[in-house]
Amino acid sequence: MQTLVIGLGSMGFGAAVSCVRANIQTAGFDVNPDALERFKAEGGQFIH
Amino acid sequence: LNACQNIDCVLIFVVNAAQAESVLFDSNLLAGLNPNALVINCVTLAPSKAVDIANKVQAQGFRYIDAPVSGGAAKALEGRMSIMASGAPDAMADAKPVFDAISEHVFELGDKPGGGSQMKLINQLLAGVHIAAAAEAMNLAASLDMDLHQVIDGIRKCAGSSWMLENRTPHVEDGDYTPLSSVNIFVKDLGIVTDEASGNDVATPLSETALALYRQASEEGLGGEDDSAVVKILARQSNVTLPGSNT
Repeated sequence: MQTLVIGLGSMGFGAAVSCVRANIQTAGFDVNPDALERFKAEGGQFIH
Repeated sequence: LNACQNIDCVLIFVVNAAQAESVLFDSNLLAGLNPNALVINCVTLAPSKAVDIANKVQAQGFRYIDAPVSGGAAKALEGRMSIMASGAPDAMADAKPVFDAISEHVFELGDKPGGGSQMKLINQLLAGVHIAAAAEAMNLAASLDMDLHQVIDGIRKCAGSSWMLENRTPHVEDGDYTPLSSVNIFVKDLGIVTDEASGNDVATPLSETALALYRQASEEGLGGEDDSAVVKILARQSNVTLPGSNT
């Protein structure tokens, strides 16, 4: 199931990282580039 | 969001209803979803707004789950948040792998959008009032020159405790208002509570008093600080010196 998490703030970031850990295909999106970099560091993909 | 395509499930974790509507209806997001995709909206918003957004999303051939969350950043990172979910049974069933990944508890609150947001409304009423009550108690204890550590440690084992007292009062003791959840969140969420209540002619005097405190804190420049910073407003009114304050 290709999943997209929009908004990588405190709750969204945790949700996105939890999806990645559960081996769900997960992409993240946030207007803040720092949040995207943090998600990338946890093994996430992101889109623009 | 121009690049998104073939999405089966989208989780929305933006800050408020206006941002959720913007991302859903003013971007290319919906064009990148597969037919029948799941739109899971985890934003805290008014139940009537959840119904409104759900109708628009469903009219475009997608499925919608009203799914506000609770638990805080630490639990979110462990995949252990609580989800207050309402939506059609087939949507809830298909969302299960994602819910299993991110949550410890899923409360199934009916098959119509709005049910999840109603539950979240009740949680935010209590959370907002309990934070303000804990702040009032800390300020009074400080004014009596009590040892705040001893107060917190004792009260948490007594009947006057609350989850918010246990969680937030150490910030006051430490004088550390680094935002885990900010004052402005409760300006928004208690605003939703009091709007919903007044629209139904229901009295919420405690929520209104707490909301006034959060609003004042926000107006005085504390909006981005931890919500426990409402204690600073009370301290100023009472000439109380709190830990970490340099005034």
